[in-house]
Amino acid sequence: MSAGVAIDLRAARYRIRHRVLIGALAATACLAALLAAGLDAASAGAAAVLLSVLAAALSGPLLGPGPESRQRFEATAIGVMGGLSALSALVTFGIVIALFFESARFFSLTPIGDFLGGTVWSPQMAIRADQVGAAGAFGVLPLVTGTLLITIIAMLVAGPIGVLSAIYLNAYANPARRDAYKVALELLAGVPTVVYGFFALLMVGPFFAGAAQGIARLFGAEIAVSAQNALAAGFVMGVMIIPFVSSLADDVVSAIPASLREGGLALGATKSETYLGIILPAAAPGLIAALMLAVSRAIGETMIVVMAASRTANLTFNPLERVTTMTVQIVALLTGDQEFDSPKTLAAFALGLVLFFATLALNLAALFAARRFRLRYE
Amino acid sequence: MPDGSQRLEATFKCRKLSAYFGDRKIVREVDLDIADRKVTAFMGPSGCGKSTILRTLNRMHESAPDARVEGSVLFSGHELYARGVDPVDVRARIGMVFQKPNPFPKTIFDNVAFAPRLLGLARTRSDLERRVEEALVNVGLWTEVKDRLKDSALGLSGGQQQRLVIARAIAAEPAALLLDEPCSALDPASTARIEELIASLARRLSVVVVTHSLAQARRIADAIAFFHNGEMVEFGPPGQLFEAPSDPRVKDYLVGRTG
Amino acid sequence: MSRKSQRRRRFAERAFRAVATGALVFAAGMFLLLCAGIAALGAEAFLRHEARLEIALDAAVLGVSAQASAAELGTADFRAAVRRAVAEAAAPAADTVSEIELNALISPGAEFALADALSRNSGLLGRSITIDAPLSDAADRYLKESPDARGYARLSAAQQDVIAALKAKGRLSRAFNADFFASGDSSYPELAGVAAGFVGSMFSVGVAILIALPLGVATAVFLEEFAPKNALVDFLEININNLAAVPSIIFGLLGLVVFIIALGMPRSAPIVGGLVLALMTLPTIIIVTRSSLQALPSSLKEGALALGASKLDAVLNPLLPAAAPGIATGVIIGVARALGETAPLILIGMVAFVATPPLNPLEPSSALPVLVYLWAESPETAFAEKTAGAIILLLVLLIVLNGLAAAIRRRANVYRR
Repeated sequence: MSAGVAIDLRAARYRIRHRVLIGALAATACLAALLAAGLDAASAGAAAVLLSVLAAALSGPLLGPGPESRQRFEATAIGVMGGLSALSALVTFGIVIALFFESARFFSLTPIGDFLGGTVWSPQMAIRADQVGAAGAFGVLPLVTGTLLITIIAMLVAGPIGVLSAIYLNAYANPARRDAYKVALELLAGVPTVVYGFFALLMVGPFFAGAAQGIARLFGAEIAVSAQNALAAGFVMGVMIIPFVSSLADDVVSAIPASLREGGLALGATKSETYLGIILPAAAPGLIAALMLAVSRAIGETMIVVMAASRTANLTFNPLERVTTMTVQIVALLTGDQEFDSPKTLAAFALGLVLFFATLALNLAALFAARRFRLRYE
Repeated sequence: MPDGSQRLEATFKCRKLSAYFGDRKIVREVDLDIADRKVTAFMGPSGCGKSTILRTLNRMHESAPDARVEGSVLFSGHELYARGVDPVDVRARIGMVFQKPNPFPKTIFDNVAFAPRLLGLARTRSDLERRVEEALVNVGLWTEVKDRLKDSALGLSGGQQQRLVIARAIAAEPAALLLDEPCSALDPASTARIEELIASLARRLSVVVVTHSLAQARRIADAIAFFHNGEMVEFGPPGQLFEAPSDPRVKDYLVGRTG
Repeated sequence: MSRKSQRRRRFAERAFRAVATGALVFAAGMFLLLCAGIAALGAEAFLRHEARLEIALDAAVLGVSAQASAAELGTADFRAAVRRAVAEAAAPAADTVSEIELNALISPGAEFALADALSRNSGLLGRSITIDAPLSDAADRYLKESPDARGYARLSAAQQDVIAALKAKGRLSRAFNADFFASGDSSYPELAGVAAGFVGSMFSVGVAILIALPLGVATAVFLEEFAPKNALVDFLEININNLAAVPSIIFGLLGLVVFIIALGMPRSAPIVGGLVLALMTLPTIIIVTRSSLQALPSSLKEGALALGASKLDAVLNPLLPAAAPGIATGVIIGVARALGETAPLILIGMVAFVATPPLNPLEPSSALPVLVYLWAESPETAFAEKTAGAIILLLVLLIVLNGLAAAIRRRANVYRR
């Protein structure tokens, strides 16, 4: 073995950096080409030319010999990665700006007070642009109550079932079974919501309608219940959210130190007393965060309600009635051919804005609650 | 860094060397000279800063968050902490082996070939293979693994893994090798093999080894530096340190009152 | 402690356990119900009834001249030829049935097949060929639901007699419905297939991976290894965590405004769908990549640094490959979610009726889950089984993806958090 330290490190660094740079440029070129191809061929070509020029310009200072160029190269690479990270922030800003911009156009046509305070939602009245007073009615309240009603029903199903199944997994299930359940929950969480929508539309909706009518008949009353009732949509949404709540709650409950559990059991408490008296109170902030995230999911869930809830707005809290939600209306307003400047279309963006901020508030609250919980136990 | 083609005197001269984690001073103004092609052992009770001072010798210390170094280390006459010296280049020339064997989750061959590839030492594939073989022969692992170079390194035993990472380190052709308690996770048989290996390595490069074991230090060290609370309290050949320690703290340690 | 209170405590314990178990059983039960319902419905989508018909391609019946050109053949009345073949096959039961009623028994797919055969070989004109003609959706449903029952609403008694006659003569068979996999959407349920939606989904998901994977991994590596600890980076982190919980429909709105209205990209195209899905998958990939990197022992990075690797070298070489199984698992799960995503694709117009699979990501297309939505909403009952069939296909894809993720995890669980 030669014992010299006279090692020329430059060639190697050059080769490695070269490979990295070429890889990165190829990836960027692919990306740009894809993006540009969405626009037109000319910009795809322009992007390719631009990238080659950029590569040529960078290869000198970044790939030359010497430690300075290596440091420059690494600083550039890290800078590029930092820039890419900022892109995620750009997405959020993009959402806010896009929604604000389109909503502003909507509010120039419909006063914001009428939107937020109105109790009638019937955008389908705006058939012809030249009709006087044909802008339709855009009162968001019935949509909010509809969304809330379905969310409450969903949480009544998913909350208890999800948390209790998490407790079962922690307290009673043996490890092998626990793993099996976790795999099943993961699979269940992966089922697309459009599948649940179909389930609600074809099976649960008609079943609930029939059951409600049957029960009413027992009491001598004849009622009409639509298959598109809020109960069915909410129930199926709850079923959809169970694995979500359950796996979040499981994480929270398992994060509670074993010493707490053992402490309770060592005092002679039963498992139920330990879990209800010690673990659950300790886990409460984390569980609340989990439930807030679940509510956020329920509010933003679209396909189940598009398929299983109604499209006509209805200001009611009767679970057997047909109600509609904000997400349903966004889809309804934006499907089919439409002009992008009629109030009917623009209203969808105003609804999107409300939805975004509602879920943002819940997500952030959950995030901070979860952080505080984690700080306490990790 | 110097670029001379002659073999360097791989000596370390530490002057007023201090190391910090945030505000905590772990190493306190150490002055220390480490000779070329000798085994120097660092000893002392747990938390005395012996591992930290080892990590300042190849600028690994500062890879941890809010770690800081003051003072100077001259490596064969060149200041390691001079402005413009890239720690990356320093580490390429001064190898380090850690307490727990840390093979990469790659094949045995790829582990040893890591540094030659990274540093561009090998010009051809056969040169690379020769280097890998040489490194593995040097650590006495070649006969054990030559038929399974394509197997994962994680399948080796603890002692084999530690010899593998030493082979990985010397394949980078360092001038000095720093070992941080290399035997603490090993059984006695493996320990004996590593000690032999250290002795043979010292014929070619400077070896600094942190150890907990008095017996080990006595067996392998040409010089021993004893640390206490971040200060170097005694330095000398093992005979002197073990037979006639001048510092009471060393005496206490030797008779087992501390550490 | 009194015995009474002890008994009460034991009862409470048992009750609590029963309730907790019940919760899990309920969840499992609902899932089984969902699967059973869809399986029962969807199994029929893969089969259909066909009638073996000997069809005389008689120029007179087709209403063309004996030496008809290709253009003239395009106007031929294949329906009449099919009708005659049915009438002959089911004689004498067919004698009392009107032309319209006869037409309604056999799918137009038979006519398309005849036109196709003739255009390929004009020498067939004047000869007769035997084909397995798919029955219409009404006849197919009738046979699937109540093969012997009378009074099926959508078929007249006379039509039912014709079917009974065909059956008695052994002309009817149950065959694998290849059209379901090979065809695009169709307004005739018995001819409708998932091909166009499947190809559209593949294009969209492909575009999404191409964009989200490099972007997500680069972001995760930056945040995990290089980012300074400051308020800006903290903000970025909160941002990404929030983005993971933003409703998918919002991403659809963003895609509509940015890609279609502002940038003028084509509506209904998988490229736009892919872009939207990429934005949605991005947070998942970032979060998973970060946790895979965190799960690596620090000795790995130290080992590389001690060999003279820079931080970037270390990330590229031992760290990312070591984290790759974890990243791959996360990407697969993200892809699985993107594959089932429906709402944002509807908003960017991928709900169009698409009969032929797109050839590239710029052509108008549908997607598999959107097809589920479209078919579920359509009034023909025959589409219900198609919907369930498409769902089964979708779920099989998802189970395969999840299985792949599990296999990767099991094979390479060296470093796991």
